[in-house]
This record gives sequence, C-alpha cells and structure tokens, in this order.
Amino acid sequence: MHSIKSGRLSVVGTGMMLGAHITPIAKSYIEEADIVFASVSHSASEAWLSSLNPNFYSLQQFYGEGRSREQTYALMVETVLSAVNDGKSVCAAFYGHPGVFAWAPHELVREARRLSIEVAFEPGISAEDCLYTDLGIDPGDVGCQHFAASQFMYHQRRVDPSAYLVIWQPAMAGDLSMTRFEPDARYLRLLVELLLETYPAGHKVVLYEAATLPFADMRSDEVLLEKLAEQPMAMHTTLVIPPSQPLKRNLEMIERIKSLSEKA
Amino acid sequence: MSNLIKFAVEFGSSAKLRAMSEAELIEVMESYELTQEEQAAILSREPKRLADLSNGDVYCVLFPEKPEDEEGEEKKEDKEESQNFLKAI
Repeated sequence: MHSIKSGRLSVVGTGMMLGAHITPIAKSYIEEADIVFASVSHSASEAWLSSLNPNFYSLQQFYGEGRSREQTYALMVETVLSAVNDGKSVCAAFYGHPGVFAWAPHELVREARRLSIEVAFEPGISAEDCLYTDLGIDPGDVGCQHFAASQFMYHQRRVDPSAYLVIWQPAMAGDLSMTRFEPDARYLRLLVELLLETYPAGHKVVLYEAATLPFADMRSDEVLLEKLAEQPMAMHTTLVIPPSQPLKRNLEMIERIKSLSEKA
Repeated sequence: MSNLIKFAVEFGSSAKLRAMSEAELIEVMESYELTQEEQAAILSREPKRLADLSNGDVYCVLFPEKPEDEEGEEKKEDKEESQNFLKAI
C-alpha cells in the first residue's frame, strides 16, 4: 500500500543576536527539517544556520531593486509552501520573533492552516524584547504603545503622551511604493509633523537598534524630536518616544471602585 | 562555517567569554585563528565594522502597510519565480 508523505511546516524565530537568542525548540526544528528556508539579518547568521542544517536556502534573494516588499514576502510564502506541498518537513526561520511585525511568517502559518498542513509556530527573542533590557524600559511602568511608522501615518491613532510610544521602521515611513531601502527625510519630516501634534519640539526621543552580533554594541542615540528627520537611520532603526506628560488619575473610576469595595 | 562565525556563536552563548578581559579574549580569538583585522573589529564593538567583516547586509521582515487594501496583481509571476527557484534547488 502506498502512502502519501504529507509535508510539515515549522515557522521559527532565530532571535536578534547570532547564536545567543535562539530557543532550544527553534534550533531543533532547524536541525531536524528536510529543508530550511531563512530570512535573517546577517550573512553570518545564514552561515551559522547552514551549519545547523546543510539543506539551507536563503530567502534574501527575493529582495530586489524595484520589487515591492509586498511582492518579496508573497514570493517567500509561495516558495516555502511549495516545498511543504512536495511532502517535505520544512522549517522557515526568520530573525527576531517570527510573529512580531512580520507579515510573511504569519501569512505562511495562516495559509498552511487553511490547507490543513501540520504547523508549528515558535517565538524568538524580538527587537522589542531587546529594547526593554537595552534601554531599561518596563512597558508595565506607564504603558507602551507600538505602531509601524507607515500605519501610524496612514490612520488616525490616539497617542497617549503619558505612555511610551514605540514607532517601528521610521526609516520606511510613508513608503507607498514599498520599494525603498533607505530613509527619505521628506517623509520623516511628515512623521515629525504628526508627532509634534502630541509632543513638544524639544522632547528627547531615542533612536534604537538592537545588536545582531554578540560583540557589537546596540545603538541608543538621544535626539530632539524636531531634529529627527536629519538623523541617520537604517531599515531596522526603531524610534522610542518617552512620555511627555505624567499619568493622570481617573478619580471618578477610583471612587466607583472604592464604593464597590466598601459594599463588598 | 568560518572560524569568525564559530567564534561569534560561541561568544553569543557563553557568559564566561563575555566576562573576559581584552587580553583573555585576544587569547581565545588567537585559538580560533582569527586574523588581526577580525580581532580588531571585534574589540572595537562597532556594528558597521563588524558587519563589513562578514558582508552583513541587514534586511528586515516588515509589515507591508498600504493606505488602502489592494489586491496584489503579481501573484502569477510570483508563483512562476517561486517554482523556478524550487526547481533550481
């Protein structure tokens, strides 16, 4: 009797830092797969992954001049799922956390589940995780809002100036074509204009980059909000805006809570 | 895997290595047969210099955001390119 070999998919995070941030289960999925596809931050990380599993293929080649990132991610998804459909045990590894600010891994998992493919989705240490320890910020302290820069600009969002605001990918702000790989000060000025509706021009903000190599330093540059557009930025630079106002007590709610407690 | 990457992986996962003095670290790097250029870049801790050592281009997996939802029209071409890639491996 012939049996049809069904493919399996694992989507894992490799963490931000080479060799330091991967979980044991993610490493095991990479080692045990028939084939590994990866989109990681560094050629050194690719070399390391290929040492864990020699049947390794980089997805970086799908990034191309003039091709939108949307097309690139669709190609990544199509390629990985084709290998699964060939009956292989496939691991797709993405740097950082595969479920945080990452369209392709989520789409892979959605599509695999839609096709009733067995799928494992494993976290990794994200840039956000590194940000909290590198900058000494506790998101539970006064709260923390996160937005992708372009989404933040395209929609009307309610910013709470008494909480931290983290803007991801500011270098790509307003990139309608999704083909830019460099920041453009004209769009950054628009982002600054929007932020100035909430924060004073002299408010100090932080440009942050997590370290991806273990012996490299992270970036943490404090700049004035009004000077933001002129600062050097990479695709992976994150903008961290500390609170500009103290927390305000909701006295009415406190009173209602007290009255409930008294009745109890 | 190059000695530089072997050392990077070891360094990344070893609290002992991270706590070493510069002189101790140089000794370990010598044992990995790292070049003087590689050793100097590691000791500098400068991300750009280190990235240049290993041709490290950084690309990010982003969330592709458009002002309005648009249906992609390039799916057929994507499928063909993906199939060609798979045939090649």
